[in-house]
Amino acid sequence: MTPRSPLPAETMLTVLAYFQDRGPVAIAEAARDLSLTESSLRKALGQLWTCGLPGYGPGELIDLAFSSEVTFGGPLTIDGDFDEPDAFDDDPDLLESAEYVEVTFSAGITRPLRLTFEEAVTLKTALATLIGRPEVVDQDGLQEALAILSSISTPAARLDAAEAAQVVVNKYGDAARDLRAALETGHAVRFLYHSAKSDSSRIRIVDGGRVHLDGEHTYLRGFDRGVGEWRTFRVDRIADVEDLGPAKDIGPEPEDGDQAPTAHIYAEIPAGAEWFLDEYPFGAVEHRADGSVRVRVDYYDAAWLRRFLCGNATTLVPCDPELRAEIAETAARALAAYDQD
Amino acid sequence: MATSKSQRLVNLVICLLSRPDFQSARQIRTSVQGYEDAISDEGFARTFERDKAELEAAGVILEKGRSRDADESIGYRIRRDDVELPPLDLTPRAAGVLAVVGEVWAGAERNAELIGALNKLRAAGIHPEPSTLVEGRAGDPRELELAADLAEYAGSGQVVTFSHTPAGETEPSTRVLEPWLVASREGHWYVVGYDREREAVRSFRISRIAHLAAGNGAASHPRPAAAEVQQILDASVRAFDATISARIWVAQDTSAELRACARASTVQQRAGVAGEVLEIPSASLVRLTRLVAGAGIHAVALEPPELVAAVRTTLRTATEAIA
Repeated sequence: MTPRSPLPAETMLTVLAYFQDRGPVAIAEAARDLSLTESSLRKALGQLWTCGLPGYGPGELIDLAFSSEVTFGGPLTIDGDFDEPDAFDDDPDLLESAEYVEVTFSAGITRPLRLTFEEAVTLKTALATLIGRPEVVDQDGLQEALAILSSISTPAARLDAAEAAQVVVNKYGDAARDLRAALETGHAVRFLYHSAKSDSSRIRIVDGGRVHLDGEHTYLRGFDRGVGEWRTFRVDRIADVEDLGPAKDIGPEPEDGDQAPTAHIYAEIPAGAEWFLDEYPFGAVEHRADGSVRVRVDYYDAAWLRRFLCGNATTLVPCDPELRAEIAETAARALAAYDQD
Repeated sequence: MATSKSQRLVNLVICLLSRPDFQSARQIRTSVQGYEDAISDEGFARTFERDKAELEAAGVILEKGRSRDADESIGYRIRRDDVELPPLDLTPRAAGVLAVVGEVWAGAERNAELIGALNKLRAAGIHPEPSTLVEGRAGDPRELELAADLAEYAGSGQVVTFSHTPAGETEPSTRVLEPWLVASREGHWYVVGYDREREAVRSFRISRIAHLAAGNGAASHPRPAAAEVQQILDASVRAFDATISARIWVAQDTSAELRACARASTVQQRAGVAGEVLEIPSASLVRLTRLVAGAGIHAVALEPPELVAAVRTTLRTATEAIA
């Protein structure tokens, strides 16, 4: 009966190459780096220990060294003599208790395998979601990563992400880039914010900012000095970013202050406009037999809701007749501005 | 201790990498630990074939050639250059990007492939350290999964079927497509290819696709050059949602979102109301329509005519919804 390994052979080879590259590494760090549990990493190392080409003299099998602490210049080897392939069987506790492991002989495996087609496509697709988002990652670094990926993956991975960059690059312009640069150094930022919620444009100063992604939008979350509270800002509404130097000490962020939408209404997406579901995070989506969709619209601000409903009148109709009449009245007045020309 | 299957495969890779000459199956059976359990020749042959297939699926290409074994002429070896990740010279900022992608896509669909790829890069000496505090999701995980699946089928020349609900329609239709290119534009994913039933080139927004399946044989329609496919996609994305430059009047202290799109503004009264005319260099027609119509009397579209028309249509629809 062939025993099962905790990991597929491909992963075992990656583990081997990882340790070969690093020298002595803490088990906990390696497990985190490789997204493995410490227990399966230890088992994998135990199995690798007896791999190689036996029967060709000593030094043909993979060799490991263990220690409970790292001294300068390498690990303190508890027992350096593991030429016998069954040394592990003799003392399984050694690997179980070691905190640091070093691969001292890797039987000729010095590099990881090339990326498979599936791996290359997945990584490219994930990277491509960051194209045109200079507030999240350095765009030159992104192009560099994509270019190198193309050189180490099969040409059949026909996902031309690099090309997509030409269309959307600098979508947010300098502001987003300046913002990321300031946040990377942990600095406070001053910027002009065009708020959709309050429909105002004001200067804000934010300490302790960090970037939060939610689908296609990017947000800055941080402590707004002006109001003395934690606030969330949409990055594409930020302009004229200035680095203010080291941020003030602001203490921990409170549990979700201004996050949850405070109110909701129900509305109908008419038959034929079902695609509009993609455009906003609607709740309680209910598809009806006639092709229309009933949805819940969560919102913070009554004025925002009215702008949203009037702006999307072709694809979203509020169920409440009073609200519908109010929107119709607003629209009629706005329409008059065109007819008077 | 018995040898596990993973150990046997690791041993096989080590053997075929380290020997310069082609190894016959017979030689492999005697020198690779893990095959000694095979009782019969047939049993060994079956196991060896399965192992070869498994390695090839993992991207380990076995080269065939003449072995020195007098009894068995076919032999195998692995060329380092074929299977090993070449040296990578990544700057810290590119490594930082890889760290962020690991953070924002962790645990999503295709997690195993993403982790597999990033682990190999780490094992190649790249140490992705996140440079910014970034959290959250970079997009819809379902869209990412579909995009990656379609890219795979496009790369391997397979025909796919899916159901697609276009904008403005309710009933999904089933499409049979030879996919050519998967790409993102303005935060959305698209697939371009040859639609077999419509007998024409078509682009689809991936978020409107469901029930994707492959297995309809191999693609047979000639694929145009990559640059041409890009142009087809750009043209259809413009058709989905044109990018326009616009002039819009906004009342004083209103329309913050429109101001966020503007490059310049000039003070101008309109019907006795204080305000400014915004110059917007480049924005989506759909988005500007929503914002201008949504602002009610606080914003008036001046140019281009298609924006004015779209805003008027939206407002008129709103006035007709009183019933």
